[in-house]
Amino acid sequence: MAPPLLSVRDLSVRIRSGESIVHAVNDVSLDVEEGEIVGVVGESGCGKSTMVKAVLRLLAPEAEVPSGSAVLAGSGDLLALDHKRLRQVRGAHVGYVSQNPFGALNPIYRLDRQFHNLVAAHRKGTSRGESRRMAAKMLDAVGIAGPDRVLDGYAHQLSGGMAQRVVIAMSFLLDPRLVIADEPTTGLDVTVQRQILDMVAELARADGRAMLLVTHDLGVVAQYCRRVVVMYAGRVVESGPVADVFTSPRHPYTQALLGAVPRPGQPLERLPGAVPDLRVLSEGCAFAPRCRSAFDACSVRPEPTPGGDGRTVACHLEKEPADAAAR
Amino acid sequence: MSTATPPETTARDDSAVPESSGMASRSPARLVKLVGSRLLFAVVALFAVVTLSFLLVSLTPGDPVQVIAGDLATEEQLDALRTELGLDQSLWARYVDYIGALLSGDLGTSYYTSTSVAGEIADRLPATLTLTVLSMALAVIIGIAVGAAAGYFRSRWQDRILNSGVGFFQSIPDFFLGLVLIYAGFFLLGWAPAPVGQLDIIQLPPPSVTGFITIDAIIAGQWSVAASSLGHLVLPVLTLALVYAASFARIARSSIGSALNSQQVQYARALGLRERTVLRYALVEARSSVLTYGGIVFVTLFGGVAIVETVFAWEGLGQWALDGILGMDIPVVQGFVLVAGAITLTVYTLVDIAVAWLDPRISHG
Ligand SMILES: Nc1ncnc2c1ncn2[C@@H]1O[C@H](COP(=O)(O)OP(=O)(O)O)[C@@H](O)[C@H]1O
Ligand SMILES: [Mg+2]
Repeated sequence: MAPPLLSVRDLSVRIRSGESIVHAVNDVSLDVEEGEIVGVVGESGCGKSTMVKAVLRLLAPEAEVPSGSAVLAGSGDLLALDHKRLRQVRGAHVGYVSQNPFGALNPIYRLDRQFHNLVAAHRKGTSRGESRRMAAKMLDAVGIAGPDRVLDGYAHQLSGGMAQRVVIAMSFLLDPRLVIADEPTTGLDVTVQRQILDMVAELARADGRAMLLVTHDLGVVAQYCRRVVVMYAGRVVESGPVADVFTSPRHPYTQALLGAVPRPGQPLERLPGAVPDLRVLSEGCAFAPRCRSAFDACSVRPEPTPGGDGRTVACHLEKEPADAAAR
Repeated sequence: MSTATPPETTARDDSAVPESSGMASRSPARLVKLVGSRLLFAVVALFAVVTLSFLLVSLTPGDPVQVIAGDLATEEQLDALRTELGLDQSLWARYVDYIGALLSGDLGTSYYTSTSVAGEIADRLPATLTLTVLSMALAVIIGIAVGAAAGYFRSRWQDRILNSGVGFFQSIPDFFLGLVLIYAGFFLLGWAPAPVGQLDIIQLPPPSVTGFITIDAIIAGQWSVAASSLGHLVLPVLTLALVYAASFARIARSSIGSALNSQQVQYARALGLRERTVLRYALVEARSSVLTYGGIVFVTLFGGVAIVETVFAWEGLGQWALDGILGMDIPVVQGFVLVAGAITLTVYTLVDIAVAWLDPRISHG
């Protein structure tokens, strides 16, 4: 089998925050195969954005990456690339759709110019006319009627949904093999959210493009993703094929998440209890305080264990279900 | 759980297209409207400044007549002086007189020297403007360079070094820095001319055309005078520039620094834009606040120039106004407030217009 397109191994991120250190991401490993859409789910504050930013090397100066690698097939470990190579990879080989589209666009320059800067950064000598043609075509593909008017305007003149479509067009423009989308519809009107998620997943699927999709919308994950990664407190607690994980979730956190499925597009914040404070690195399972099945063994952290069926679960119940049942 | 949704092709988003897309937001018509509205505001504000300064100076406790005549003056002498200066009239009558004279360009005469205030201003303003504008220009260059570098290297060692330099120059008073520079540049190293005035004492100023000594000297072809005037500018300009560059750098660091960490700059990086372009994205975002603070710094510099002018015996407007304030020379003080107010409003108006012109998000009117 070919090596995965993106292979993240043992990635950890610590963020200095005043006197304390936030352990935002801890030993995360995940793979994205060529042409595959992988969903990343978990409550807010579980380190999804930090993980994505670490892979793209977009972390703030307060953050450090003490361990881990993120190998992109053909490009090498993104975390070890020099600035020149990194710049060439970003945008051209890996597209990125950020959380807040308004923040992502430059407020001063016309969109036409921003598209041109993007193309010219990777394809030297591209004319303005050529980059504009490319942009117009892409804007049309993301469902924007009248691309020319948009290209001649500024970011603040767009609606939220339009702005996100523009950002998606930018991230797909140079035909990257992988697109990383971090909750691309947060903050948008609920009716627009699903449209945009459908559009972006459909667009990736049509071109056989791989995508790492961080989202709250489990419906979208079920419909478009082949595999799903469930994150809790900066760790991967369960991963595997969507069909299996969603029909028979093994980790109690995954079970709780699926049980709490809200209406599409709603954040997953209805679980009882709260995400733990990531400033303290817990010795045991981070989910134990909220877990109904917690038992003695949970005071020691469970390691993610591959089950042979393509699924990985980090829970003591996996090994000692009898023990737990006998509790 | 996967609910059927319409295919994406029907999900076209034309609910909100740019309302004025493609509209030239930098059209001449927009500029005229922009400048017109800001100028109107500036004129009204200047009138308010004039009125306020009149009231402030007139209602300040202390009797100018007493100060001018001295302690030994008799009651009759004081009354005579009061009548002569018009201070025996009502506040309202004096205000009407003042405004009337102002509109005809008459700013009154100094209580002490009996020279025309307007004439003094015309004589001294060029010297002060030369000093402040050159200092500001240098302060902007140093301040933006240092601030941008510090912001770029935020919380790394380069930033820490630059920041302590900035803190150093911010904490020394300008007159003290002036004295230190005089000591080093004139006494120790000897490359600066004697820190007295705008020219050497034996030099005669060139015939006045523009009022700016350097320019007039060049017009008259007096190259040695021009060179001398530039030499005399070095130390006072350096003094003011270093002090104000420090406060400017602090502002530039925080606004450029936060622009560099802004989402749009992060996204520009994520798209693999060239570092040059990324920096440009940050600078255009920081531009408005840097410009605004630049205006404030210039106005502060203009107000604070008096002490440095005194240290360097510059014979400028600030030094003259300081003497006027100490002697309760009301027409002089009012004349200075008027000039300072006019300059303040001019600078703010220009900044306002520039910011609105440069930022497509600000609509005119
Ligand atoms: N710049 C930062 N400074 C301090 N803490 C941060 C910073 N960025 C993220 N965090 C913390 O890291 C954790 C993970 O955040 P994030 O990656 O945004 O989670 P998610 O995307 O899953 O909602 C949270 O506890 C958050 O408070
Ligand atoms: Mg997030």
